[in-house]
Formats: sequence, C-alpha cells, structure tokens
Amino acid sequence: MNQSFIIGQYVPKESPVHALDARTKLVIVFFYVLVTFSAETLSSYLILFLFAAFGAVMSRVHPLFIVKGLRPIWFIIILTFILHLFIQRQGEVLFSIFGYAIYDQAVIQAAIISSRLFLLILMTTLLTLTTTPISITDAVETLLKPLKSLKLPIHELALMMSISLRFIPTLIEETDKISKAQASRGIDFRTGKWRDRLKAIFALLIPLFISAFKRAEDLAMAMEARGYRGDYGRTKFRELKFTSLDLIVFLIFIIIVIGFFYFNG
Amino acid sequence: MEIVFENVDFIYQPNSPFSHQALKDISLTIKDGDYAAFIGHTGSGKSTLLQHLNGILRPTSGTVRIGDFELTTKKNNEIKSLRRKVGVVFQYPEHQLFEETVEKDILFGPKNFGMDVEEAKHNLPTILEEVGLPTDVLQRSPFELSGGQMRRVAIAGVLITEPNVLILDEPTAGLDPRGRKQIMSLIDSLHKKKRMTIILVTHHMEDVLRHANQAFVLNKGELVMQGEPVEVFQEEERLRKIGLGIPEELQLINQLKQTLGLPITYLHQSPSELGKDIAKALHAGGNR
Repeated sequence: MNQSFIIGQYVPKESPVHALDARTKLVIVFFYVLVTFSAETLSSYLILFLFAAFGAVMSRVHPLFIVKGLRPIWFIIILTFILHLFIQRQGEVLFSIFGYAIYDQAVIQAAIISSRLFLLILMTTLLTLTTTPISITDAVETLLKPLKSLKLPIHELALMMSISLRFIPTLIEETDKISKAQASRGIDFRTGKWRDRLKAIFALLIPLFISAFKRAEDLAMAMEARGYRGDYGRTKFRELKFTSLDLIVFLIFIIIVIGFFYFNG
Repeated sequence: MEIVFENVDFIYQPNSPFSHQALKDISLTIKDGDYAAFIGHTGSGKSTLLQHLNGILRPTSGTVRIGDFELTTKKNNEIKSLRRKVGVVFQYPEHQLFEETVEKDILFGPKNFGMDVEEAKHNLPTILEEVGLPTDVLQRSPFELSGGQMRRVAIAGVLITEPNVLILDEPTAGLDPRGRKQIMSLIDSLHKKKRMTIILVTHHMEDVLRHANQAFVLNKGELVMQGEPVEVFQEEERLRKIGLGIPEELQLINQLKQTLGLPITYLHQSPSELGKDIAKALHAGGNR
C-alpha cells in the first residue's frame, strides 16, 4: 500500500496548530474553502496563500513531508492546468505549440483553477495532518448539534464516521493479507485475461466483506457489553476546549477575510 | 527442494521516511526433506522471511534459491510454477475462503495453476481424509463450518496442488488443544509419508522440540541462532534475552539438574517416558 499518500493521516506534534480546538480548525477550513471559490484577483490569491503557508509553518510538520504527501495530487493539479490551457479559447493568442494556439485568458484561467485546487487541498491536508480523526468527528458532532432538534441522528452519523476512519488501516492490512494468501494459491491480480482478473477481485472482496461484517458484529457486541446506548447520558473523555489561542486565530482569519474581499474588488 | 538464502536483505518502503529493514543479511540452508522451525518474537521478521519463499516478496539485495528457482531483486516470470511447488498456509488461513462450496474452494488453487481439475477432484476424498474432514462437507458452504473445520478446508486447498514444500505460519493459533494436536500430527505425516519439506513458524517451543529437526531463531531481522532444536534450546539465557523461552520438558530437566543434581538428558522422550526416567534417577539418588 502506498503510505506516502498522507491525506487523512495525522502527524503527532506539539504545535499551536495542533493545540487549536478542532472546531476552530474545521470552521476556518470550511470558510476558507468558500472564500477560495470567490477569489479572482492575484492579490486575493496571494493573501489566501499566505494564510495557508503561515498555517503550514506553524504546524511544525516537515514541509518536505507535506510536499511529498501531496504527490498524487500534483498530478491532478498539473492535469487541470494543461486541460485549461488547451480548452479555453478566449482573449488574445499568446503563442502556439505545434500549430495549436494558446490564449492569454487560458493561461490565466489555468493558473487560477489549479492554484485554487492546490490551496483547497493544502488547507484540508493541514487540517487532517494536525487533527486526530477522533477530534474531527467530535467537532462535527458538536457543530451539527443544533440539527438534532430536527430529529437528525447526528451522534450516530458522527459515530459511523469515526468507526469507518478507525478501520481504514485495518482494512488495508486485511486486504494486503488476503491478496497475498490468494496470490499463493496461484491467483494473478495484475496480468491475464480481463475476465480472470475480475474473478480474482472476487476472491479478494468476498473474504474482505465477510471479515468486515464479523468485525462489525464483534464491535457492536463489545460496545453493548460496555454499556453503550447511543449518546443518551454520555459524557466525553476528551472535551473540546475553546481557548484564547482559538480566539486569536479566529481574529487573524477574520482580518484575512476582510483583506481578501478588499483586494478581491 | 533445497532452500538457500544468500545474504538476503529486505527493506519495506525503501527511500521513504517509513523505510524499515525487516531482514538483515540472512544466509541459511534448508535441505530437501527437512522439518524446519522458525522462532522469534513478534516483529522479528519471520513472516517477511516466509514471504520470500514463494516470491510474494523479493529480496532488496541477495538471492533466494528454491530448487531450480532463483529469486533476486529482478522480476521472475516463472513465479506461478514456483507457487505451485511451495504451498503456504498463512496465519488464520480460514480468512481466505470465499467460494460457494467447500469443493469449489479447495479446487481454486488447481484451477489457477492450470492443473487437471478432474484429477484434482478425484483426489478430494484422500485430501479430506488427511486433514480430517468428512466427505459430506464438500457441497456445503465453507461459512457454515466451525472455525477449526474452516482451517482444515483452507489447508486442504493448499495440499491439493501437491506442493514439495509446505510453509505454515502459526497453523495452530486459536485452536483448542485437540485441534492443535491433530494439525501437528497431520504436518508430521505429510513430512514423513509424503517427504514434504516443512517450514513451520510457531510460538510453541514444545512443538519445535517435538517435531522439527532444524530450528532458526530470528531477532530484529537477524538470524541469531540455528541448529538442531535440542542444541538451540541449550542456550536458555540467550533465548530469554530476546524474549523467548524453552520447552517445558527442558525447563523441568534443567531445574531438576540444578536443584537435585539429577542426570537426565533429553532424548525425545514422551512425557510419560520422561516421568519414568525422572523416577529412575530419583531412585538412584541425586548427588545432594
């Protein structure tokens, strides 16, 4: 399995960004994403980039680690850039490659879209790098609590989210184990006829599903044995705390947003 | 088939922050027809080493030779015929079952290896008898069976391809004492009657002493001891240092030697024979 893929992977460190309340980070990332979609001028992009870079530096996660981890995404960003370069046909012709004209508007559009993508992914990666999946789900749960009065099962949704996050590594391990076992029984996932390969996938998926169901049953039993009955009367071991640090970060973010709209015209 | 490791290194995810050397300069020889046991603490590299034996993993450097097959860092296109000759029973092999019926699941290997499926079908009753399953399970779903039975089905699925080398990674984990005994005696009979080379990974030192004729001790990816089990278990101190113990029989003999000075040597006695020897020695009187 490709472990250089760091999206959704928490890196434990002691930094101001790690210390922030998960709710603060979630809300900021949410509004950051919204704001990014309305960015149009170069200086507004610069402001957004500065904020993200500031966050990345403060997180004390090694920059090479972030760059390397984003590698699978680089491909998508570059692809978007190239596609826009060739598909956009507005403005004046800048130059031409192999007789294919490239327009100046296309270059600008391509740069805008791909930097938008880059910023979005950088910010969300920063969130998951500095926040444990558990506190993210806790934050989602508390932020969505008002919706409970509409009879939405917020706690159950948050629980499902944290359980599925928790079991991703387990499932990856299990997949690895079963594919090795089936390979030893002569199956070949990589070569051979298309039909045989489809059949090979079944030999992997069926055992995987069966063990996932078994594990779910065991988990449910273990939870009930320890007195789980939904969120009724449930207290939290890790409480989310809103500190003065969160307040400062919010203020900085508000200033950034104001500056952004000022320069965005 | 003789198995030779020559200066084998294996590194997981080389050139990355997660790189981890699982095997360090392993050189060893397992002769044709041996019953070799690998012991070592969790994370000592046993499973990694096993996966080199049928080309699931390739050495980062060094060479693995299994009979005429040679595995190096380069890709080998004859891996499939190697996998047919080297059967692997992974840990908890019952997790790999997936077909609708036991029969189909057992015949999965022969189909993949392009063997004569009719002939394999013909051999089914014999294989089932060997692993100790009744023939009426053939048409049942493997998921209706008990855990112990599922494991036997999985083992049958490996044996049906008639491998020359059989690798078992903790085949008795999670079984009751009776199930353990049956699996161990099945392995014994495959070794003796079919002349299969057996490679066993286990945490039960008693099994190593009773069944194997070669023991290899791994610690943190290095091969630290090898030899006949009785010899290896002589070095109790060294084994204790790397978190391993010695079999109960030898512990008892060592303690009797230390406290009462009884001169008893281990010569593969059964527990009751050992009891008689101790009684005899006691009658003769200790040195103290």
